[in-house]
Amino acid sequence: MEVSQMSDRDTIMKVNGLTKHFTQNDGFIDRLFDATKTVKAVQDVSFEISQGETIGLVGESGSGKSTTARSILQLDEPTAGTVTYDGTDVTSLSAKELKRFRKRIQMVFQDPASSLNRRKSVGQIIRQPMQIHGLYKGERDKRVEELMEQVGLSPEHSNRYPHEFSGGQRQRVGIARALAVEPEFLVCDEPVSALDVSIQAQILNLLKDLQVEYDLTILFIAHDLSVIRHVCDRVAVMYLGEIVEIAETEELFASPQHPYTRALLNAIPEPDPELAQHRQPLSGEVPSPIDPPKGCSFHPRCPDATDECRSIDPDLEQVDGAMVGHETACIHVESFDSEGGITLEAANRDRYAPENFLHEDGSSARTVSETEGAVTKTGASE
Amino acid sequence: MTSEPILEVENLVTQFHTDEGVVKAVDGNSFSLHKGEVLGIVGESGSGKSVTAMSVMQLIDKPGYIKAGTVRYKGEDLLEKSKAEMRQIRGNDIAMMFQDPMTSLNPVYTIGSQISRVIRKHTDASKPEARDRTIELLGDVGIPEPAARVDDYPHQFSGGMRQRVLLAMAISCDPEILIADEPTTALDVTIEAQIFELIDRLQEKYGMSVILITHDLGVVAGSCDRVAVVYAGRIVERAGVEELFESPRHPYTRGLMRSIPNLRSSESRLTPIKGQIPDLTALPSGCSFHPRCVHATEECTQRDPELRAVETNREAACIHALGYSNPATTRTATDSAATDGGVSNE
Repeated sequence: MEVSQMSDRDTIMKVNGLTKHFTQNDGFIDRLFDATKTVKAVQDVSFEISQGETIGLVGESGSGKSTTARSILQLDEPTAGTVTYDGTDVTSLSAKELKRFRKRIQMVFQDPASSLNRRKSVGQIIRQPMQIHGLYKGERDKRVEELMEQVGLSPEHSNRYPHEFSGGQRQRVGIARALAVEPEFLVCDEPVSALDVSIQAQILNLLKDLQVEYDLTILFIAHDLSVIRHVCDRVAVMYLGEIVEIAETEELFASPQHPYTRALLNAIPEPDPELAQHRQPLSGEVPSPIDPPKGCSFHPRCPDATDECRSIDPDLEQVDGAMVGHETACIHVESFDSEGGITLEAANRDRYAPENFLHEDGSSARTVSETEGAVTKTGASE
Repeated sequence: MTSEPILEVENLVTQFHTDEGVVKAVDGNSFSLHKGEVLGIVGESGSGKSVTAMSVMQLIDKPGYIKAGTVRYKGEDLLEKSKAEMRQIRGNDIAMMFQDPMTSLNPVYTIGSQISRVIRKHTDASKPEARDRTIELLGDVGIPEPAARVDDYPHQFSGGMRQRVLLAMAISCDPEILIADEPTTALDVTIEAQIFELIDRLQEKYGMSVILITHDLGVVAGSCDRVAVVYAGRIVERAGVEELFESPRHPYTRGLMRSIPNLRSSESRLTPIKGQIPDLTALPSGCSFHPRCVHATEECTQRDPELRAVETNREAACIHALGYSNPATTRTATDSAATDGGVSNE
């Protein structure tokens, strides 16, 4: 990822000052005492998405990443702010226009079990978006077949019901459904977090392939930073409804600037016993979005917090000396610090490659190269 | 870890009768737990890792039943114990901590009363004594202002705090063994790190042995001393944590490690294990992993490999693993030199 690449691409979506508050006063008792509580789920979030890129939203539960996505799609009506897609402000669209807009942007949900209708066959599920948008009349059966093949399901199974499929296969159905109307933009909300590791990688690779095939722009939401690293070109880190840092993936992982990003990277349990020794847990918990802390919302947990942090709410600003577009919201970040991130270890994974299996025959000759590109011998690994 | 094992499970078979057929959730597994160690049982969904733990505690309900095997705790077979005896053992000797703290706590009782009840059931403590002990325990697990929060209800705690409460309850009777079943799966990473640090500290303070059940190899790397990898109801590999990550000897373990998106690699394509996790009512013939295995041969479709030593202190259930057909005792543990080239000295 070169810096120039970013400016080369056209901005397809512009999110500006997006804010979503939920009010909790629906109970009789609450209304009686006028105890209205406001959950500040998303607070003044702004970012841009370029055509063809994959941008990640990462954060812990309650950070507002899903609400941000839902507000962009107008599934939740934003309290304030605008979302401009391809020149149109989608927050001001009429219901009819919104329907047309949603043909262009589709969503893949976290839980394939609850996001598929149990009473419909997968063929019907995949066909439905085409019916709703009145597309592919007369060729829908063919299109369903084609889609099922594309996502790695056999078309003969189109009469089966979701419960007859495994979790990974159900997620493939969800992806086929999202692609049925040939969208330009895909919002993936934790698409692999309900899946087993050995299946996760299959789905992530599939999304990569389909992105190329359909020329998709992807907004990818996840809590798992290792998944984000492999999938995204750029990453926005959210904490308590705000973006605290945004940067290109490589730079964010190598040189995180915000103390929260650093802590998050540090907390990941890495599958390596040596590295695991160095985890330093962040103290405290995510505060309630009903009553977020004054000043910087991260200050109660921040190891570097000072008195100023308690009063100043920092804005997201370009980091001095960093790549263009690397922004962070911390008053203590004065200039770019390249240290403190995750260092790459290139040879690390080769030890699990099939050719390094300690085989009874004493050689790797019997390795069968059936997995997708699994056995590309890289020669000297370093 | 040279001491006698505190828990020895041998040839444990737990099955479930379902409409689709008999599910062999745990199919002849053996493992042991030594004093003061953390044993990890790692596997994907349907691998039988939770059923293993439930079988040790004898918490298997119909249509499931323990068909065979022994679970020896301090030399006595728990499967021979009466229900009343087991009730004494659970909590006092072996305590369990579950994944979801919301469903394992009763929402209509204060957390103080729930912990006190456990203490009073297992000791002859008076009510005030139990309450004092509860407050002490809550402080131990890092609940701020325990004396004030002891009368709160579960919904007044965050997910991480509820998991701390469960931990307090689990250690309330000073058990010898703690079985933690996916204790942090429902939690955020920063909170997960806190809980594992806490388990570490309590393990030292109370001298417990721990069985940690998880799907997360990162958690295994950070917390376990020894590891058993399970696939489709069977242990397919067993090793010390460092050896396991240095050079996994079973193709499934290798595939699993390779498929995790690695933080320290920027390659965009991942390497999944092909195929699906098999249906436990219709397992493939021979080695259950063969349809997904890159090393599978004709023989693998016929022969069902048992877990066998392939090196000193290392076991694998793969007929193609180096050392599988030779008695392992002749082999030294310093074979790791072979890992960098992939070509062994044979």
